[in-house]
Amino acid sequence: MTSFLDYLLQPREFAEIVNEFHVSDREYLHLLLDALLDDNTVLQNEEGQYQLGPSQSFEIEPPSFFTESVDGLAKSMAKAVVDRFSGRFFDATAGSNLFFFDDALAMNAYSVLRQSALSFVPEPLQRPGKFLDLGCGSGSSTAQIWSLIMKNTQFQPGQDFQMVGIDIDENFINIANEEFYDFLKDYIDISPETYSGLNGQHPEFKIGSTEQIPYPDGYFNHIFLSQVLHWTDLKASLVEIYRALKPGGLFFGSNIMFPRISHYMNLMLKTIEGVGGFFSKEEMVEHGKAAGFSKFDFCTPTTNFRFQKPNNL
Amino acid sequence: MTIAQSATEFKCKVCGEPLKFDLTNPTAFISKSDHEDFFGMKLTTYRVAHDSKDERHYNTVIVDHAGFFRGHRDAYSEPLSGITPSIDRGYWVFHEESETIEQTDNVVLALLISRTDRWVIDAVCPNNLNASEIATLVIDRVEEAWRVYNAIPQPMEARIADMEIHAWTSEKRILCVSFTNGALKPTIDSMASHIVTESEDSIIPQRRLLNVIFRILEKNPDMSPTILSRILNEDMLFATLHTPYEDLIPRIVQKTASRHPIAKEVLGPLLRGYTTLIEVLEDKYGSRYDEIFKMIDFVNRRKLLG
Repeated sequence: MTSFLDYLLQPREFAEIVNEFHVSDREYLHLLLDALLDDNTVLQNEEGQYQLGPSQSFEIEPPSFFTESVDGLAKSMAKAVVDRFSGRFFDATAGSNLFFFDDALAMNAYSVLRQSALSFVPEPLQRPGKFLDLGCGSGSSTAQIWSLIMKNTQFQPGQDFQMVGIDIDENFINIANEEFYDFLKDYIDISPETYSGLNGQHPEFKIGSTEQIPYPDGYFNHIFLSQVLHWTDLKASLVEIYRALKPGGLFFGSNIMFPRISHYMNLMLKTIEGVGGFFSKEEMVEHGKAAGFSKFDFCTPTTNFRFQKPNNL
Repeated sequence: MTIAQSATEFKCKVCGEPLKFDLTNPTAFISKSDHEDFFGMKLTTYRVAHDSKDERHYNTVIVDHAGFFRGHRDAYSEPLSGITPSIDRGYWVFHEESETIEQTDNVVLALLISRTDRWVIDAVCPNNLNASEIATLVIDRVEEAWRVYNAIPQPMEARIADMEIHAWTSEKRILCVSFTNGALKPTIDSMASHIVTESEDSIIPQRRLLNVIFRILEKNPDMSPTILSRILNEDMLFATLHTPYEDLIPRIVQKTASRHPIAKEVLGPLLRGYTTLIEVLEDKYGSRYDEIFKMIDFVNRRKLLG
C-alpha cells in the first residue's frame, strides 16, 4: 500500500489511479477510496481529485489478543489489497496461510464467541437432533459444540443426534477428520476408549459451503455458524441454509456486522475470491426474510443471532 | 523462489566423486520412482550408476520438483561385469554406513536375502557369524522346500549349524530370523510379508530401515504393521526437509509441540535440514516412533514445506 499512498501525495483523478495501478475492478477501488476518505487518510478536493491527507503515521500496533498467526494473516491480506485492484485474488490457504488460518481458528476469542452464541440459543444443546456446524474449519468448533452436547445429554440410547461439520476447504476437512479427537481433548476429559465407544455419535466432516450444503431439503434441525457469513455471499447462503433446515428449524450463531467492523477489514476480506464481505443487521434481516425465515432475534453487543424457519409450510 | 533445473548434481556416496545427471534424459538413470506429496514436496527417487576403476557405483538419490538433490537413499558398489554371478559364488553382503546390530534380547540373527540378485542384508548378525555363508545355506534349504512342497510353509523352519531358522519367503526374497525366545515371533510373523514383498517403488531394500525396525521392535514388540509399512516404503525418511518459511519455524514447532511434545526436541532440526527422519529414528527416538509419525502427519496436513 505504501506506493499507492505515495502516489496520492499529489492530487489524482480516479481515472489516473486506474491507469497507474492497472485497475480492473473499479468497484473495489471505490471501496478502498471510500474507506480512506472516511477517516481522512485521503481527502477529496473540489475537482474530485484524491490526495493524501495531512502527514500521519501508518504504524499500527496489533490488538493484544492477536496471535502471531492472526498478525501474519492480517499483514498478508493487507498486502493483497493492491493486487486485488488488478483482479488478483488472495489464496487463503496457499503456502503458510493454511497454517496461519488453522492456528488462528484455535484462538480463544473464537471459542468465547461460540460459547456466547450457544448461550444465547441453548435449546440445540439439549435436543440437538441433526446439527450442522457450517464453516467448521479444521474441527475445533465442532469439537467444542460436540463436547457441550455430550455434557448436556450424555448421548442417551435412542437419542436423535447426528453432528455434521462442513467446510469449503479440503485441507481443513482433512485435518478435522484426522484430529477431531485431539481437538475434543481441549474441551472435555474423554479417554480414547470412551470416545471410540461412542462410534455412532462421531461427527461427519464433509466438503461443502454455505451456498452448497450437500444434504437434502429440510434435513437439519439446527444449523450453526460463527464468524463465517462475511466470507460468503450472504443472500445465497441464507437461501441455502433455509433450504437445508427442517420446518421450525433454527439457524443461529454469531457474526460481527457493520457498523462494528472497520471498512479496512472488509477490504482485506474481499481480497479473497467469492467473499461477500461484512454486512449490517438490517441487510441480514432483509435477506433472511427474502429467503423465508420468519423470526429474528439478535443480541447485537455479542454479535449473536437466531433465525427460525416457519413451522407450517 | 526455486528455479527448476534439469541436471541434478550430487556426490557419489561410495567414492565422493561429483556427479551430474540429466533428469530429462531417460538414459541418464537406471530407474525412477515418483512419490506422493511429502510435507508438500514432490520428490522423485532416481537410481544412477557410474564406473570407477574396476567397480560400478550405484547411487539411489532423492530429487525434489526443482531438480535439487535432497538426499541419498542408498549407495553400493559392484565389480564391473566380466564376473558372472554363479551358484558357486557366495552372496555379497550389502553394506551401508550404519552398523550391524550384533544382537538383541529376542533375535540372534535377521537376514534379508535376495533369491535373484545374490545379496544379503545383515540387519542383526553377531560378528562371529558369516552372513554370506548362512545366506547360501538358507537359499539351498528354501530351494529344496520349493521343490518338495506345493505351497511352502510360512515361515519355513530349518536348522543351520546350531540355529533354528525361521524363513519367510517370496519369489524374490527371504527373511530369515533366529530367535532367542518366542517373544517377537508373532510380531515378525505379522509383518514378514511386508518385508519380503518387493514393492514396485523399492529399488533395493534398506539396511538402515531394517536396522531401525529391529531396534524399535526390541523396545516395542507391538509395532503396528501400518508404521512398519511406512518405514519400509517411505523414501522420504532419507530426504532433508526444507521450508520456505524459515522465520515461522519457532511458531510451527510451538504449535506442533502443543499437540505432539516430541516436536520440541526434533522438529526444529528437521525443518532446518540439520537431520533427517531416518537419523531421528536411529537416534534415541526410535522407541518413540509412533509420536514421531504422528508429529510428521500433523505438520504434513498443514503443508508447510515445498
